[in-house]
Amino acid sequence: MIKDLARSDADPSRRSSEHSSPDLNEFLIGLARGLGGALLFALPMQMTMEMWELGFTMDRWRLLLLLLATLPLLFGLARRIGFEETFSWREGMRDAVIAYGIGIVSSAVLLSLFGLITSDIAREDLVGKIALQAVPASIGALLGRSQLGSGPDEEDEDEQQETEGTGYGTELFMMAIGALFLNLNTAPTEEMILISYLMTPWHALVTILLSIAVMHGFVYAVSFKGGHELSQDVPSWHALIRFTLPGYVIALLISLYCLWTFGRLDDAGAMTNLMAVVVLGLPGAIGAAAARLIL
Amino acid sequence: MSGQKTKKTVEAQGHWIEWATGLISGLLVIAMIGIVALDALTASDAAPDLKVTIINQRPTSGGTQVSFIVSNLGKRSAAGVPVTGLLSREGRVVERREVIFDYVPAQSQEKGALIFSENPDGAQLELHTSGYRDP
Repeated sequence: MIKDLARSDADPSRRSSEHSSPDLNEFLIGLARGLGGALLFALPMQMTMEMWELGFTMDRWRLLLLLLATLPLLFGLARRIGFEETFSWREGMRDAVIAYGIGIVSSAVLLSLFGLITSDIAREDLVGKIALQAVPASIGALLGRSQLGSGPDEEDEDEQQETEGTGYGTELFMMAIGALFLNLNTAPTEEMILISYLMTPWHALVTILLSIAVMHGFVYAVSFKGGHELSQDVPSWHALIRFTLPGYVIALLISLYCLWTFGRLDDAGAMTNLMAVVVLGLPGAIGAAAARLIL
Repeated sequence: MSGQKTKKTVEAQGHWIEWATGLISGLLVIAMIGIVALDALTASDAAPDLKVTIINQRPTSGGTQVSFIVSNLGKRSAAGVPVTGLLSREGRVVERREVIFDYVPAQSQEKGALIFSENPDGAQLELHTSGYRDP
């Protein structure tokens, strides 16, 4: 959606026709794609009981921090999956804000549909529930626009991106998004905490090694589409140190942040918390690896 | 987008910042593995070790609220922990209150409160955990 607008901004010949029906049509298709993405990515969370409860149990400052942090995150994501060529601050912000808006509206609609939003609900609860769900939904809306879309112009865009290559910082940022996405799905559930209680430290050790192995394998070994290949003269431990280990540390930090945000770390001792971070780090690592392939 | 993508290639010579980030990350991961391994070696036959401490007592509209901390000093988490409060006067139990904690994780503490309708002043108040199960 926003991409098409951005393109018409950059191209003077198309600017004159900005308000004509084909462009409006494209904009609406873009909105619909965003809505589709928000549904696809956020529905599991909107149907999770712990997420509803967090709407009122969550610490308000932590919720505020999460909501504020989402904005630069969406901005960065818009920049990455938008078009670096015609990219400007204004367009990026517009992209991010529209995605956030789609997230809020779709969350409100779905939560109402599930009978969770009624007239006798407290205002704080109402705002908390919708705001919390809007975070994954808005990420979904942005991803939906890029991943669900298929048009001829998107293909040549890809070629441009490839020649430009992917910066190291961008690579790490995408891993953070991927980890955050899977962590938002899993961190609120009680199972994460329960699993960490069930596990012995030995289980945790194996989980750590498995996370790293899966993360590395996902990107370099199993040749998924969008996977990365090592040039002939690069030993595989190069990529392990330069990409996989930083990615895993990012996944762990995102896990830590999610658990803290949802108040899962408040009463427990350091060792118990570390175990929970390791448990959540597994989906985080897979999310991070997948993000490098997909985005 | 992904459908059109060809493979990215990792260059042989990374920027020094990539190596620095990698090195720091590697050290962090190794440190974490070390801490967990140390814990694995020392906590092989661990059991929960539960203790209840009264921290506060205040009158509320529903009775006297006795706040407490239940702490688990052991290296293993406990689930379904009931905390029972007995209020006795002259050796006779006059009130019994109980609250159940879903989890008391290893080396952690949880807060809670019991509400007694009688004023515990001048009476004997005893709080204890009556058991636990494995998570």
